[in-house]
Amino acid sequence: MHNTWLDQLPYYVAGTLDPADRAALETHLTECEACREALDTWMVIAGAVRDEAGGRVDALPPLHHPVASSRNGHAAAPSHDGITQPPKKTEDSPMTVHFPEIASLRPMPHSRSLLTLVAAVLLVVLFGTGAILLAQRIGDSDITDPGAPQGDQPAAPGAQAETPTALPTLPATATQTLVPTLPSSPPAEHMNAPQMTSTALIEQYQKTQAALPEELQVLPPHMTSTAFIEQYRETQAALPEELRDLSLTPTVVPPTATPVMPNIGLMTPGMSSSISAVPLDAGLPPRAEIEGVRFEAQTWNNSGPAALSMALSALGWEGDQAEAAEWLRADADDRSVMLWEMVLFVEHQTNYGALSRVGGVPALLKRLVAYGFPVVIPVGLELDDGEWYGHHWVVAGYDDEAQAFLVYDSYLGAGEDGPREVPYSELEDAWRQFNRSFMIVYRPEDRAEALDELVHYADQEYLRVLGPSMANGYRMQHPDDPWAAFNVGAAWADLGDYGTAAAAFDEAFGLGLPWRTLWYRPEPYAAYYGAGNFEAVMRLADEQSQVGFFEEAAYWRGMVYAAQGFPDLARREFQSVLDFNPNYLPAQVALGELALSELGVPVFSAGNRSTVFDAALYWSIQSQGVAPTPYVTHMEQTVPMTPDWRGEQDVPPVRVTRVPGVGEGPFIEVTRVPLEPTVPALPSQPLEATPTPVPAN
Amino acid sequence: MATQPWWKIPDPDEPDLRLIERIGRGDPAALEALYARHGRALLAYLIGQVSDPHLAEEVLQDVMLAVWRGAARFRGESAVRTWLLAIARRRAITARQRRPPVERPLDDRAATDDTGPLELVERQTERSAVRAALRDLPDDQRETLELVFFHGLSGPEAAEVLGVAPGTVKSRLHRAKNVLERVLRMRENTDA
Repeated sequence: MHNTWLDQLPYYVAGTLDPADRAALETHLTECEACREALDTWMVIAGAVRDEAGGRVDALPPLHHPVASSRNGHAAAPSHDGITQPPKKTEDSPMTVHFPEIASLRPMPHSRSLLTLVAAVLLVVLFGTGAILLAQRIGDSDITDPGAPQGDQPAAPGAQAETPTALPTLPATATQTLVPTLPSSPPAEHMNAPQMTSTALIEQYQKTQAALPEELQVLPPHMTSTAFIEQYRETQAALPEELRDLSLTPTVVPPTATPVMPNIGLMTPGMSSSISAVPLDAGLPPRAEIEGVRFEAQTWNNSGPAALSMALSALGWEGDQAEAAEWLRADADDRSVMLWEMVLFVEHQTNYGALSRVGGVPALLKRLVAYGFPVVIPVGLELDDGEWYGHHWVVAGYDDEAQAFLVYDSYLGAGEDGPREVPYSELEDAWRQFNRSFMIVYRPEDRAEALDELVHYADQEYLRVLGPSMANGYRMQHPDDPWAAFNVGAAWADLGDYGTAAAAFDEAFGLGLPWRTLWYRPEPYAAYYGAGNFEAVMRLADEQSQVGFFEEAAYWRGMVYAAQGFPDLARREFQSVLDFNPNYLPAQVALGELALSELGVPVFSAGNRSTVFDAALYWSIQSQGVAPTPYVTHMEQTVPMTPDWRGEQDVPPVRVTRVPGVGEGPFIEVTRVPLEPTVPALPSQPLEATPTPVPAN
Repeated sequence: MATQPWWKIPDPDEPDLRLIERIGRGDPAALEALYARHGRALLAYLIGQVSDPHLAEEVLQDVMLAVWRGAARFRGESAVRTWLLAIARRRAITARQRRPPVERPLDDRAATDDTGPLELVERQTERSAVRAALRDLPDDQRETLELVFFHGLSGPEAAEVLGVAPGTVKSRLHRAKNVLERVLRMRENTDA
């Protein structure tokens, strides 16, 4: 026992002893002469060692840059040369599978993070106790992976250059050879894609792994495929039936098991008017203003929380922008806050309610403020440095005589007696750059009224289905406006038609967008990811990361890694998001799903997973364990569409898929259904007419 | 890239791991920041290993190149510092194999110009005696002492860098202490 104390002394002197051990040792020192003497000696030694080692360096020579930095630093740096090289064969026998160990029960490391616990809770909620083993693995993976510092291979110095080093942006050729699972089919087909058997999945995984350089393979390697399959089956058997690997059963989800949702999307009961039938601002007074907004000048990069705080202040909220920011952007370098994040904050961190929608019109803004609901809108502005930024306004009133909205702007400052006047046209111009999305806040008791005043905007799926039509209308009138094309892409991405969305984004980028666009409008990520264009996702994410840390860039990089079968890399990305912003629910959810994907469940395949960022959906997944799309039992309904932005006449209808969710829902995914020759094409409608098949009221 | 934009100026509080991630994505500013943070300690370590300061500086550049190339594969199982030292150690071994060792220059710089309480002065002179004795220690013992006291590694971390069992770290520390204790006793006797 005494030797243990003596062994601890050098670390005590070095200051590297655990606090608990340190306290115990200090107690012991008070009563042990021998240890005190030894301590003295160690202190002298420690001082001498520090002097000796520290005295060796006078100055640090300049660093020779290993690479003349190219635009994104990847030209010569962390290269991927090695990835295309013939695979290294490392297995002793062909039966070895590089597959993560599933059921390894290791002692809980004390550094286990809150995040892991969240993921664990999520998994348990999703899968019952059978998932605990999985959760265990999530927590352990980055702590106990064997073969730690592997980063350097000393053997042949010359060989370093050939060592594969980088992950980002797999070259096209490598992607094809390495990732046989990479879906290249348009998303519309994913629902009908043949399901793989688990054996086939494992084989594919095995092949993928074997083709990778050793460093990128998932450890540990010592599991035979038989052992894996056994373990996989056991784990599957422990799951509730509806959550088991779909590939184990021959068919997709049985449609009979699904609840039937009546009359999806087009007209819900209680809806008082169609989009064009009655003007939303009919009968409103010529001027209205919400009283009691407390102006706050924003702190750096804090326009979102500041606007939210001002809007809530009108309802009597006593918090301020700092309180909102603490939850919304824990890291001071977080440059943008999305509406869905703010909705989450209001719904779950305050006693108020909030909801957000896209595609609003000025008449709706007037209507909402006239009825006393403050509206937060994101806008694009060119500030005095000549640069384009995303910003937030609180719309608190309007004045028809002045033809202006009454707006609180946390950056530009308040007007003379409260709000500033922003001309209708100016607001529309700034707002369209954000697809005219908006958020309202309300007192909980006013929820029904809020939904009433939103009229048809209350129904989120209705808006989603109509989104492309509405965006197209504008797009056709403004063919040179990149934002118009961008909004078309966003609308299609929101509907789940990622291929069409990606084409629209291609066009928008081609027309030229401000370089900060992705800071505030990350929709292209979802589109390119969903369309299976992982290279575009990686390119965008890497470029964005050059400027600093962005949740979206890291998140989507993680999604691509996950889809390509690099769970460790994906986990690192998701973790980095949560280190940066612990409240970024999509990353929490993704982390939980990662464990599933490591079992071979194709969670992350493009087109197979909902990529819609929806506050309520994420919250319901996280808090109530509602599973994401791969486990969705769904209903289908075919909805005819108006001509799309390319002016095609025969526009295929879309298939609306109900996604279970809790809260603001219902949630749907929509895919376009290819027109079958046997079915007569649906009559397309002229664009100028009522852009929807809504029956007249 | 002409001037450093404000967002590229490294944040002094950015965790090592974040820097490594950025390096993995090819961000030279992050490498620069990591170098500024750890370069000095690594250089001190390398000079101790290869004896020749110029060679040590070359090896340090090697180490940073290895970091640049390997960062993307760093999995965070060990502390960044441990990882860096492990790379440095392997690079130093390679460098030593290529070049015969140079006689270590004696250096008594940081001795006793400090004035202060008497005891402190005494400690300082004791310390410089121990410093001299340190140089006569077997390389592996001195290296272990440095990893623990200068680089602040825990026992298991030091074992990881050295590629030995944790018990070996313990016994090396113990043996080094025995030798240095003898030096101290001799001083006490001659002072008395």
